[in-house]
Amino acid sequence: MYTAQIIVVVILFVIALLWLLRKYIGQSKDSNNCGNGDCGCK
Amino acid sequence: MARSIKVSLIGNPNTGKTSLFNRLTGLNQKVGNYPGITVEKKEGICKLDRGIKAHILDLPGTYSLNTTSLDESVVIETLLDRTSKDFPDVAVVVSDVENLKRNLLLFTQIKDLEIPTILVINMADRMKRKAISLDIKQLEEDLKTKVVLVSSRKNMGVEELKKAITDFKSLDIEPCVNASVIDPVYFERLRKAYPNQLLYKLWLVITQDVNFGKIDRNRDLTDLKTTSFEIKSEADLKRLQHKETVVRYQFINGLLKKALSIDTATAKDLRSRLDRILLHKIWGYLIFFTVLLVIFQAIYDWSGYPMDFIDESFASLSSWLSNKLPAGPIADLLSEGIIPGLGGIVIFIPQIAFLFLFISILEESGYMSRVVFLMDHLMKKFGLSGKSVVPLVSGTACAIPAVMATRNIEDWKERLITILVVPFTTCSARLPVYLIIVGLVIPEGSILGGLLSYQALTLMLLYLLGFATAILGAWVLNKILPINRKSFFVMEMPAYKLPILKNVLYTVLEKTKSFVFGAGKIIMAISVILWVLASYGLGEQYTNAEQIVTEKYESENLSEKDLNQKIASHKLEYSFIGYIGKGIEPVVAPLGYDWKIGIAIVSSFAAREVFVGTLATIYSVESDGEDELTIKNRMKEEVNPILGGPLFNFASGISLLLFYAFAMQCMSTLAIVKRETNSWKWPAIQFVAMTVIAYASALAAFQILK
Ligand SMILES: Nc1nc2c(ncn2[C@@H]2O[C@H](COP(=O)(O)OP(=O)(O)O)[C@@H](O)[C@H]2O)c(=O)[nH]1
Ligand SMILES: [Mg+2]
Repeated sequence: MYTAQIIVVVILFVIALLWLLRKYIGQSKDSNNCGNGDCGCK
Repeated sequence: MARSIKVSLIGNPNTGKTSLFNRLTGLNQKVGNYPGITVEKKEGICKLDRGIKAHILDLPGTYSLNTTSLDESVVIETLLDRTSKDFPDVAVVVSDVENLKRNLLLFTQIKDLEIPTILVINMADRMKRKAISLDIKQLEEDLKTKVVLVSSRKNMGVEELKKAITDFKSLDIEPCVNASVIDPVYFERLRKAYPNQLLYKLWLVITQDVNFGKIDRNRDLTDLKTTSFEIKSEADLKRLQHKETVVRYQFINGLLKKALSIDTATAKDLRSRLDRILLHKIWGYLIFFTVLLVIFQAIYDWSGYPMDFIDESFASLSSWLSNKLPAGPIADLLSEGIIPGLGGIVIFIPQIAFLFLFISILEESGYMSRVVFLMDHLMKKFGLSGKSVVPLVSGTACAIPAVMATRNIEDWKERLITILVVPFTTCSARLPVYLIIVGLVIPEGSILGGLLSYQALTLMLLYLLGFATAILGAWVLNKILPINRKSFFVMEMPAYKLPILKNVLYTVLEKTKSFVFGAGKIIMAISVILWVLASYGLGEQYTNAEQIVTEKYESENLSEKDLNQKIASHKLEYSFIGYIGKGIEPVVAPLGYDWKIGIAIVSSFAAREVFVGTLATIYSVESDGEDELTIKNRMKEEVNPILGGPLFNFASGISLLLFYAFAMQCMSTLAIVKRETNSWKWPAIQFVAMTVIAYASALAAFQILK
């Protein structure tokens, strides 16, 4: 049980890390659709 | 049979194109009562009768087809290239009933391109108040097309417009002004040289090269320059263009004399009376400051209770979860990592909502344009034109749309300078950091008999500091990269309007949502990473923490609770994040911060608003999870490891405020600057320069005040 939880946590950790890396360092996709006045176009 | 029609909405800025676009498509694009809001094309679909679909394109505002700036060139590029996928089947020119004369100039130019064109006269709801009456029949006859009276606000005439779009095949495509009268000989020769081309289009392509060197010419016209055709000098072309404008205005004046009448006696001139006060050299600024003060005071007064409520709810949610869930890493990750982190974002919903409430009321009412006008006077003294003001003012929401709004600026250097200084404007992501720090370190109390608190005043000073730095930065940059050609800025003064509740609420909702979700996703990821790094560690100090701490405090007879607290602190210090923090500490200690703030600053480079959430996560790991402390109280209890005393005191607080005011902590803005300047050079320079300024001023502040 405890090891299973550790595995879940480690997976989450890796996902979070990859997501952040891709978001900021990975290819910045040409966000033509990010509206004006909208901060959410990342 | 399903068909689709391509429709382009074209018109002068601020005539209500986007409002009409939203009406037609049911979408919700941002409208604003000042020019320069739409700088990119937007597409949407509108269902017409008989299963026909219209693809509606909302284009940036343009005054004429003689373009000078990048956003205007989008329009002309769309209209000149018949092979482009955006080339419209029908152009809908949107005009404003109060500015028909100026609006019709663009209409006559587009009509001469022999594209089916519908004239929409928008804001029809204002006709009665302004005592304007129109002879639509006469207009249709002289303009040789369908004219539709619309009020996109009152949803009037929209159905009629849809019908006209459906029947676009029946529209007359004959020009209504004959431009060749400006130089018949030249035009005749042009026609002979290119018998298959539209004359007016030829003329536009030729003059386009004068105004805007970078425009891509249509494929079938590329040979134009290489032929032996008589080439006029630039000055001659400019002169002819001017003549063309005069001819068009003669036609328009003649037409409006017949078709338009305004009963000036009835039209009350509230607007000019208001403008006289609001744009006054002294009163104007005083009123503006008062408005700002009221806003910041209100943000403080109104959001205190909901903020405390949210803070407490998240604290109890955490402790409830850690009691209910079976103990283990997942329960801890939730109750010590993710929930406190999210709490650090959600707590700011009330303030963000109030901030956007005020911003959108100012924009909708037309007052924001007056602010732009006031700022314009200041800007001129610092070497920038008024066109830079719109981005700077709209930067109070977010630097990203502000950087995009610089596309209005014709001169490349002026545009670059504006892009470089825009991130100094206080964006909404800084507000959470300012609020929490100001609340902690600025004493309560007020001036002006309780009307204005010190805290609200500090907040206003921070906003002014942002503007002042941006303007000063522009002045310095202007010395280094002199601007050759000042952009020509015609400030459009929109009419005052009562803000529509629906528009305002919609903006507030959208902005708040994108704040919560944008920052929420980032803090989720960051809090998972932080929690893992803070809850695990290697080495003897970490694994044997219980033993080491118990031995150390053996003689002191601590209660079990205090001892557990000491153990948790010790473990945190020797966890992975502790080691990273210790690496950062020497850099931030001179600014008055401990290593935990150092970590929060580093994670703020992803987005500023995660500062508080990051601290909340670190503090939760450190406390043993049983006591329900709110974020604010946790911050209050932190002790400076070197100097003793509260960590967040006046000196370190001011130092942090200055750091956040100046530092370029926003990856998304850097990415947009890269996109808009097409190189990594400028965002890199911006990043380094702003960080250096931030560090130096924070250092100075702490060392002087401590
Ligand atoms: N009174 C009135 N105001 C309108 C109407 N349509 C748009 N507006 C207002 O005009 C301003 C500019 O609208 P917007 O759609 O952003 O114009 P755009 O710059 O052409 O896209 C906004 O404040 C709208 O609320 C209308 O039919 N009547
Ligand atoms: Mg628009």
